[in-house]
Amino acid sequence: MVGIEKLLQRQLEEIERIAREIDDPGEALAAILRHHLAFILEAGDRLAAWRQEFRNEGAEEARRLRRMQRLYVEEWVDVVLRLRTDLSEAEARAAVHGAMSLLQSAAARRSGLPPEDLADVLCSMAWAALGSGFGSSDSVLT
Amino acid sequence: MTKTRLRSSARRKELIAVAANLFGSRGYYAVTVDDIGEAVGLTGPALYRHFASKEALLVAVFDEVIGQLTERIRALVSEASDPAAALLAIVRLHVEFAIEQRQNVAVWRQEFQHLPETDRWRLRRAQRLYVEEWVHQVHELRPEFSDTEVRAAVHAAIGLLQSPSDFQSGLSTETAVNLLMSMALAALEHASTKPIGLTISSAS
Repeated sequence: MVGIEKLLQRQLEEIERIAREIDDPGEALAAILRHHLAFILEAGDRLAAWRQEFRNEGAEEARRLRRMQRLYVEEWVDVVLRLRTDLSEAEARAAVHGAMSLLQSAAARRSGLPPEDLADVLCSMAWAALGSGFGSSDSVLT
Repeated sequence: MTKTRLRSSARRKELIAVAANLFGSRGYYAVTVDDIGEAVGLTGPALYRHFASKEALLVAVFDEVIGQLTERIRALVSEASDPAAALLAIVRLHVEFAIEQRQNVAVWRQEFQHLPETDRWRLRRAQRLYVEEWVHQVHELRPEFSDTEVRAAVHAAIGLLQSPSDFQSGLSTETAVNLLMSMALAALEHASTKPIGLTISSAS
């Protein structure tokens, strides 16, 4: 219990700091992605146990944790909405959850890549996924 | 095959389909063996002749789902004119599956590690074969990537597409499909081994 709450608290403080200190939404998003992935890589196998713990918490504690998680996601949504004026809030929120699930794949399996290389691949993917629409490059798919 | 065995195998298939449906709509934990029996007009004991437990039914559902996915991905790949078209079709297949089977994807994640070992091995192998179809197409499109990088990228894209099992967005299916598809395709297309700081300065 203490484990996950402390961890969420730290993550929340970190994302609030990023939102406060970095004005440029692109740079803020990059910082959020890097921090989120570092957190997943650092937590590693413990994350799965924490998820389980989360589900088994008493109602009040679970509510408190969910609230923290929600605030964390909302900071992220806020940054994405500044970059993606084409998205509704609900779309931006779904997109953020999509990016979180993408990064989460780092914890789910042993890829065989060194952590720094894996971090670069996943961060660039999450960045492109959230940014589809801004920025541009030659497409290999069209 | 005797008539009885034929009937029995048809019954099995029916039970698997009904179980997949009930697990998917109401959630695995809320559904009882009796619910499944009732839906096909079988009593609990009669159902146990086909499946020893609810867990055995779950394993059969997983086998069925991954088997169907693999069959469909192979059909799509063989019909596609080039790797880009194949990848587009694959991503659509997977996102539609992930949204439709949202609940069962979540159950897979939660229950997989508790399944009997022989079932885990068989399902892992089936999953691996499915993922390899993705890996092959992505490798064709991104030949500069190592096999390990491609595989990590594919697992990340699949994770993204399965996010509806973690979070109910409330978006219409069509909107969610389009959003997640464009995200996954952009992610696979722009995956890079360079730190994102560099990507950003070149993009902005």
